[in-house]
Amino acid sequence: MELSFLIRESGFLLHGMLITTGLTLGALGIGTLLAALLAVLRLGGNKFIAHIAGGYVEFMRGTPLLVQLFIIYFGLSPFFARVTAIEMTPLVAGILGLGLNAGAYISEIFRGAIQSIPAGQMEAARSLGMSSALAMRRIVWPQALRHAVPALGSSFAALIKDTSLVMVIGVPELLLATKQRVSATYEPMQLYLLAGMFYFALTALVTYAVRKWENQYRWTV
Amino acid sequence: MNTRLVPLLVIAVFVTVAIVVLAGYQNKDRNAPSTQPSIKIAMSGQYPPFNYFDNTNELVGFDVDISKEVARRLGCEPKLITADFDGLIAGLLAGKYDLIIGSMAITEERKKAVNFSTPYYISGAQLFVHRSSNISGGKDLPGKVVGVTLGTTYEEAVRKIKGTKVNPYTGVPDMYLEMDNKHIDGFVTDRLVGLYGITQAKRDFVPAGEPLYKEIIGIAMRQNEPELLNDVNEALAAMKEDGVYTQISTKWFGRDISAAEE
Repeated sequence: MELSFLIRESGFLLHGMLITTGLTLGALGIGTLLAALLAVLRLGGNKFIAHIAGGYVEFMRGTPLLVQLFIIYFGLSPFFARVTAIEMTPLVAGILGLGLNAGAYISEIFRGAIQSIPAGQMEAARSLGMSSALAMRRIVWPQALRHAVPALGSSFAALIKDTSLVMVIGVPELLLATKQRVSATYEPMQLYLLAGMFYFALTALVTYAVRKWENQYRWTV
Repeated sequence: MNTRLVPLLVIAVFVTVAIVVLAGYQNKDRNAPSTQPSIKIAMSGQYPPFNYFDNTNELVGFDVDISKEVARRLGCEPKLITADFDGLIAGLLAGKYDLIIGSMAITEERKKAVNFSTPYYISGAQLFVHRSSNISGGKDLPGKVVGVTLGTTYEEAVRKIKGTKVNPYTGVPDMYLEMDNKHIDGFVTDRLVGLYGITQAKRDFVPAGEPLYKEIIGIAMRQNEPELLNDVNEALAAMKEDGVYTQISTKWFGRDISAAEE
């Protein structure tokens, strides 16, 4: 393996890495917000809405992300374009697909965490005159989040690796960039190894950040 | 800092960064000032020397030059899009692009879904093996393991040879690696692509026998656009007429590939 080869190819892969990072961050934002909403809806009083939210989670967890991406990009996005005249770029479709998928998984983490808080907490807050929404936000949620953080970390790491699937709809992220370089140089092994290192660097960074976040909760209740 | 705000803050940062990245990404498209209408042309970008990214990360190749020339004659600004080969037709039908100029062979199956222009080049499906191999053509294939690229006509054709095990891959370089590892006994790809790739990758592979069959390559578009079909055919005819086609072909292959190799 020549050093000059690695340096040159790293330059190409770096651009893919930037897009992978964008995909991850965008999907994380959408996924986390959606997950919080889904978890609250599933545990909320309205049985009908809870069932819809539950059905969504089961559907997203029960079908491959690859299939979901195809449906969104090849099926939903032309329909969307006809109705709104806005063309969904592959990147937007990718972020949306990843976010909708991650939301389902993360919502299960949130739901588990909320349910791990004894019912007495909510009852006590209600008895002090808080509305159930306020009690959820001020009393239950902050405690639940502490329980959720470690599991969130592995969910985020999984999301980073899932971004590689977005390649199939033509987003030039890290893996597609790698494949393009493989086509040009006929050096699959070196390039895939390099791509693996790039992914590892990204997950290591996220894992580190989550660990920091975890530590913060150790001292403040 | 109030710790309860931390997650909210983190999410806010994520969303902001995502929006910035998105905005930046889309700005790039808008930067090109276009006085002409644009035409979106798709190819895999993983098929040297027809379409691939060179060492400056620029999309180049025979298909790319043809694309630009066709677009010029249509009076359009070419916008080249790359996507995996097996998803190209799906993308075309979904309206993601207007033409596929990506070395797609004209087949009866594909004709059911898309319209094809008149052929813009002719090549052949070629079996390649190690120089030391005793396979000398398609007749020796039963009992052997053969690599093909997913979604290509080669995959379909090799599957029809009884007793041959077919291993599909997503790209030609993957098959080279499999040849090195002796996981496959040979692979089938376009003759021109194979001959070019072997030299580039410095491999000791040779074509085994005559091409398995001739491949006629066309430009694909949606079926509800007969005018576009007409315009593309006219553009192709005109560039063959005035010598620009031969110029492009000679640049990449040293000869005119509009007809089969004799």
